[in-house]
Amino acid sequence: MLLAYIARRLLLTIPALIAMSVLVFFIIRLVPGDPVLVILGTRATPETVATVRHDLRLDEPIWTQYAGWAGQVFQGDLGVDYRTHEPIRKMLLTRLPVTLEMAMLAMVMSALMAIPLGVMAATRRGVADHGATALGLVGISIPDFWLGVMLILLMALVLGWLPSSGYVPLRESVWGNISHMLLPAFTLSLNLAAVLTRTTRAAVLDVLNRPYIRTARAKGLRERAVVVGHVLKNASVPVLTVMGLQLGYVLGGAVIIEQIFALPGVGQLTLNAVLARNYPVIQGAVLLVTFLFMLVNILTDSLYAVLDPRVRLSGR
Amino acid sequence: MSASSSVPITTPLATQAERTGVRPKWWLILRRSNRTLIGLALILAVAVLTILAPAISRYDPTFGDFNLTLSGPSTAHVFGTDDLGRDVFARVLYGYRVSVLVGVVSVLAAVAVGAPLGLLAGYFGSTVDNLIMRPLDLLMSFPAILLAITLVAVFGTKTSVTILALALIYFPIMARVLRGSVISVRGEEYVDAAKAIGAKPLRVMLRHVLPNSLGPLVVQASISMGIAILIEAALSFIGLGTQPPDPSLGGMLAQGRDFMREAPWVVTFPGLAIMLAVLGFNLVGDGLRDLIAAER
Repeated sequence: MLLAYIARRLLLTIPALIAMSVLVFFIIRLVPGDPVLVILGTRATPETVATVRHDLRLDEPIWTQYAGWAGQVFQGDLGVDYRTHEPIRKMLLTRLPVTLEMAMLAMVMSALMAIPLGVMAATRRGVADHGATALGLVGISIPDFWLGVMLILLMALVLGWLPSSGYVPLRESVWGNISHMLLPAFTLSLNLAAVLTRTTRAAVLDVLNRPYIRTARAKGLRERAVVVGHVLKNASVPVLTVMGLQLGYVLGGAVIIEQIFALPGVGQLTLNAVLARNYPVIQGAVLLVTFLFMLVNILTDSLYAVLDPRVRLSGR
Repeated sequence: MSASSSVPITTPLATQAERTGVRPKWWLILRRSNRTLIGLALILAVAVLTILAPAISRYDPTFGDFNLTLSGPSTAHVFGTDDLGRDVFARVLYGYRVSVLVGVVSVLAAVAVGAPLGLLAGYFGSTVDNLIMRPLDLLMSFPAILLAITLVAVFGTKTSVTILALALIYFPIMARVLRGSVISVRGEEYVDAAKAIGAKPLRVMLRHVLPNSLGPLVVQASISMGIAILIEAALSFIGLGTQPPDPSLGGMLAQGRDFMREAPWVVTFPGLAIMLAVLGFNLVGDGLRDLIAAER
């Protein structure tokens, strides 16, 4: 049942991916200027221009161009970088682990902060509640890139506890890797934690009002057992949903954070490609991130169904 | 779900409204949410600073005094000066102009396009709903920042492009929010009553359904304005928004990074300025959401 559901959802992403690839392909063709001249410079002879144009298949009708490109993409070939002739797939795959590591670490940090805080805000009310609300509001209002800059200033430049930027692969040094990841991941996590605290608080409050909680209390369970055994389990559905949505957000937000901390991830690659008007790379990166984004959404929805048997596993 | 809500569900105001069948005036309702009032005060303060910028600061935001580079906050320069001797306070004031303009205009545009679509989709349902919402779902499957960056890559770094990109990000969200509340309102008795006395669909939609389903849209718009300001600042920060020498809060931050150790004020104040404006919109959105929840 569940596998069938996931399979159906995956099938449904195919039209979405096709539509998206059309969008990406044509939007980029709207750019004024001739990509061949961008590659060769304005001093190239007409013969060279014609050869390169033919090599890149830019002399064919646009629909043929799209079909050719889409056919390659379908086989996992995202083309090559116009300038360095490096395969784009390889460029993306070497950078993806950096982005994923940062995203995962940020998610874990935000959950560690937000879930206890949200539960406390809902169960204790009073000061804890006001504190969590205020923190939440400030957390969603802080620009993450500013927070990143401020953290570099404090932790790296003034205190000298952590490196300000750069990346060390996990294979070379575990501490080197983690110490370079802490600041970027924390920067990303604060916004997430703010939203997640609110979600947790609302979910727990909602569950606390249910009759089965009254039953659990009435049968003499200690409050701690009620909260851990009944409330948390039932409140986890909306919390996990929001975390799934946030993972998608983190993949987009990585563009800015990776830039601040000089992390060689997919976000940095995308931004540099945009600044250099390197369209094949932009296409590849946007496709990859959007595909991941959709994949995460499907997984979130499936998890939703696992945790809450009442959710009907219909097509949508 | 409210912390500030010292708002009990039945207040004298509410009972009075129940008795007379008249909705209390909006300012009487607003008065009951401290959060909304503080948020409105913040937004108002930012608006006044933005509009009166030339009167408030005696410095030209683009004029550099080379005898006074990187000088700390003082009575002459409240927020200090940057590497070119420009007054940071003046630059923050003028930087607000672009940020607030982009945030407000892009979301208003998104509401203008998204609200009619959401109203139609929610009111008619079935085929109309599918025709309108499925393409919008597709647009929403792009991560927001990535969509903005792609558009800027294609159409160039202009304020109008930033506004367009943000409007494109937000109009499907506005449509979806309004559609949701329209669906919950369209089955109400007063809607049936209006139809029963022969009101045309357009009249039912505009006179009866729309006014009663606007609340969540207003909340969403307020919160989105805050996020739009954040995204504009982020785009300017990575060099894809407002271009120097025009002052922008994100741009000031990016530029101040090179010497933040010697002159932390250059990066500190623009960030605080962004945060206060965003906080204002978030407080209003949050407070209004609680008021709506209390009214139900």
